Amino acid sequence: MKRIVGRQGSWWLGALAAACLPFLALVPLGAVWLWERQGFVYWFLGTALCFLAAGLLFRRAHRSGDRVPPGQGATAAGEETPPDPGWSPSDKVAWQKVQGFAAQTTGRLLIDQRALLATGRAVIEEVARHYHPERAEPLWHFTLPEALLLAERISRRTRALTVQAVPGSRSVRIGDVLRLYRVKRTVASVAHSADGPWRAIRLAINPAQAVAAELSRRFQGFAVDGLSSLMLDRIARIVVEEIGREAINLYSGRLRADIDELDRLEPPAVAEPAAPAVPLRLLVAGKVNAGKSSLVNALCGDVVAAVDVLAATGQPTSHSVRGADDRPALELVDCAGLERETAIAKLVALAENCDLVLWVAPANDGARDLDRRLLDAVRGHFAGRPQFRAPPVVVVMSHIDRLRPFNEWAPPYDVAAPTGRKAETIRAAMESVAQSLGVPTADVVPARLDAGMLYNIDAVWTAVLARVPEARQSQLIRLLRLAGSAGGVAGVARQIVTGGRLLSGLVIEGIAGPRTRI
Amino acid sequence: MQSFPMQSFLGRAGEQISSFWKDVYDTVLNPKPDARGDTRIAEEARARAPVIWLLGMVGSGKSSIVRTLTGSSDAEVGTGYRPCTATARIYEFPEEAPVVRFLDTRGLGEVAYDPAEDLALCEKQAHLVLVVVRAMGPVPAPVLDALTRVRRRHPDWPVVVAQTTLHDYYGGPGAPAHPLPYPFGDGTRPGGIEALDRSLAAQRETFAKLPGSGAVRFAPVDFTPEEDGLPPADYGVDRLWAALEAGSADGVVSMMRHSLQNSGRPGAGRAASHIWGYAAAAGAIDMLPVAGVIGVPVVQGKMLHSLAGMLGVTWTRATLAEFSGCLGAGVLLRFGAQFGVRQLVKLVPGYGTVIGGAAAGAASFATTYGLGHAAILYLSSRRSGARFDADAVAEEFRRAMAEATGVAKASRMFSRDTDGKSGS
Repeated sequence: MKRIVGRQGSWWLGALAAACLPFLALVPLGAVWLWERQGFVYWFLGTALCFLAAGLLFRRAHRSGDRVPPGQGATAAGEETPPDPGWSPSDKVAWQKVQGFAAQTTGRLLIDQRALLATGRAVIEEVARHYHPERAEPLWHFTLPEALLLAERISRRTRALTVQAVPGSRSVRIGDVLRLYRVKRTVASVAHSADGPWRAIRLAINPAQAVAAELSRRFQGFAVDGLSSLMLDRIARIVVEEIGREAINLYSGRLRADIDELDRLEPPAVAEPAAPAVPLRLLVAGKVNAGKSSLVNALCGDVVAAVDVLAATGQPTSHSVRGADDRPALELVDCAGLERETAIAKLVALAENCDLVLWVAPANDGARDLDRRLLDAVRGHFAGRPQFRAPPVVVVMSHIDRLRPFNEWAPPYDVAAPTGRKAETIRAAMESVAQSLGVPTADVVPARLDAGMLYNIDAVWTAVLARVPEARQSQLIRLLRLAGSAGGVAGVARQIVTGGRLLSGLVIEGIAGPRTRI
Repeated sequence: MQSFPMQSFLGRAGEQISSFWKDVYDTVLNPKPDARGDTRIAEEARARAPVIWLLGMVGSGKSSIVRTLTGSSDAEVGTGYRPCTATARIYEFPEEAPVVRFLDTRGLGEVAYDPAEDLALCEKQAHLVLVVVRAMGPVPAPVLDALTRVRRRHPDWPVVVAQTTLHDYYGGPGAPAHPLPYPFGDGTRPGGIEALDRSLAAQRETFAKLPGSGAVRFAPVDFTPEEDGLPPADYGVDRLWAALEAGSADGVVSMMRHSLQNSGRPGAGRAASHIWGYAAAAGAIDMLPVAGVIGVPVVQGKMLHSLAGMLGVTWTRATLAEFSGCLGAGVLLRFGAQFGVRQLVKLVPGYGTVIGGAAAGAASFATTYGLGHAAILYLSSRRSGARFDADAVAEEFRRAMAEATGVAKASRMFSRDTDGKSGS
């Protein structure tokens, strides 16, 4: 009791007891009254009935609450919070592992800080091992900027959560919070000398401990406020999932660039950030003479690539497309004509550095084996590397004017509900292309790309724009990969040295501290 | 003294002739279901039929070429194919006694496909390679790779390149139309459409780099169904035939062309396309020292029966006698004597089986071929009720027989040294 209400609370308790005494006195008085009136048996029966009804109602409430957690219908079974939409397949595997921990969590965790700490550490270690199985010490495989960003993110989340969930938190003085930390400090000397920075660093160095400390403290309050055990269980799972989520963000290298910074380039008052810093890079690929250069010209709205009956391009060339009102800035990479399977290595290397693939397939050429094998090679490449994210593929079906009947060209053609013979042929060709290339028919855009006779370029733009969010995710992962390859252990070491003695000392203390003293 | 063996020969030849006609009569008038015989005829014809190796990507127009060259509809070509290996298939036309076989290497350049396998199996029969490429754009790499390998192993093999789907270049607001008269000449002259001419020239340059010494001929063609509205539907077919004939110097393709022309039409045209196969089977069967399941007369009888069926006429004893009579006693006797002598020589051990057998094969081939053409003329006049001209029938017999003899000699298709080639 004392642990819950604190030292000063015993006076409160006394006051409460004094106030309650008159009402408590009614219990024996009522019993006497019943005894005298010989109504004690009825009272006993009534009480038994009430208990029975309460038990039944409680079971009912427990079952329905178990089945449908409010507001979580959209997430997968057993998940309290959904995984981030931008995660790669590898991240999702890590999320599964986090879910494994979350499933074993109970509300007890929130009251027992030691258990929370242990679970948090286990989750983070599991995630770290998932991303860096080759490391003996995967837990520390992140860079200092990442750690600082993590601290910032956790701080921001914690603040939001605190304001939302803890009534009166705005009136709590920081001094009280710091005093609490000082009481619970684990690295006393550092905390004395630099309390504020230490908090940040500690949050970064050992997120598990920091999160555990913050959350455990808060939820202790909730617990005594009479939350049901069911609610506690769910909150505990959310806590474990949040720890796992941040661990995934940290160890997947996603924090090497500040995602939120990208999101907040424009203040929220302005509609949509129209032109992010890095233009999307589109790979325009396909067989020799499929119409790649024609497509590049059509999208650029200008003659930038040589178009000829003979294969004109030998090397990949890059073209910039300036963004317009509704269109993002693009970089078009016109891949050289792919003639044989020896081009696979080149194509895969290009695809790895692009965010969206525009595959040009002539409608009138039935030999699509090579297309399929090249595309499958790209798919296989990304499937074997779950830390990458495969760029989405849009197929542009060129040369639809050369389909039967040859002497007819009277656009527009409605391929969704074909009426004439030409439209029917185009539709059939779309289905055939979709099937041979292993893409949904919806992803095949029929078009005519001849200069001066352009048709359906708008549909190509629409298809590209529809894939922009997906392409952005691919781009983000690609850029993160680049950021990661630029840094490395040596770079981090250099940063620590130039960052000064104090900071490096803190890092070392922080790493050594929790492991030896907890 | 000296006349005795001669008389004996003539006597025995006469016996041969009468027994020969007796077998023909029996087969024609009392056709018995004979699956083994039919199979045998088809097999022998198949072994002699020239093989045109079609090399090209899916959708380059190989089936259109098969259809146009054989004059056959889809169905006939479709039913006449047999798998050669897992990936290649052979179109035979006509099915019962093939005149020509198209080896179609489908899916050329696929991951698991090694053209070497088809080469090993079919190279002994291939008369020439017919490369089919779309006129638009560069020559596809798989085609070029396969062809290069073929020519490394057979540097002297002729190659004919059919450059298809010319109409891809006619695109424009107006209705596309083939330039007429056919401007490409021997396949090297410009057609007057700038982009097309450059593409064709670039393709010719590519093929010029092929290894080997065999000639490479070009034929820009565009074979489309009538309903496509691109007349003529067989644009450039004459040029393609010319290239194929030039590629096959021994005249077999030339003769095959005569057999195949008009084979898509009903009646005489279609019937004529069947003669070559029966003649080839007869020649092949006769080359064997001892005829196996069936003999030459049975083959000829089956042929006459089949031709009558195609022309919608039925043989009777009377019409058959009339037909054999109008071939001319002299002609028949001369042919018969020759036939008999060959048969006898064939029975001489050693020398006869080598030389005589070969000559007998050519003779049987020529006579069967002549007989078939004469029969078509005779049956056609009977069917139409036109006045019957016995001399014309005899003349057709002589003409066709001479033609076939020439081809048989030039191509050495029934000589022993080529026998190993056809021993599949």
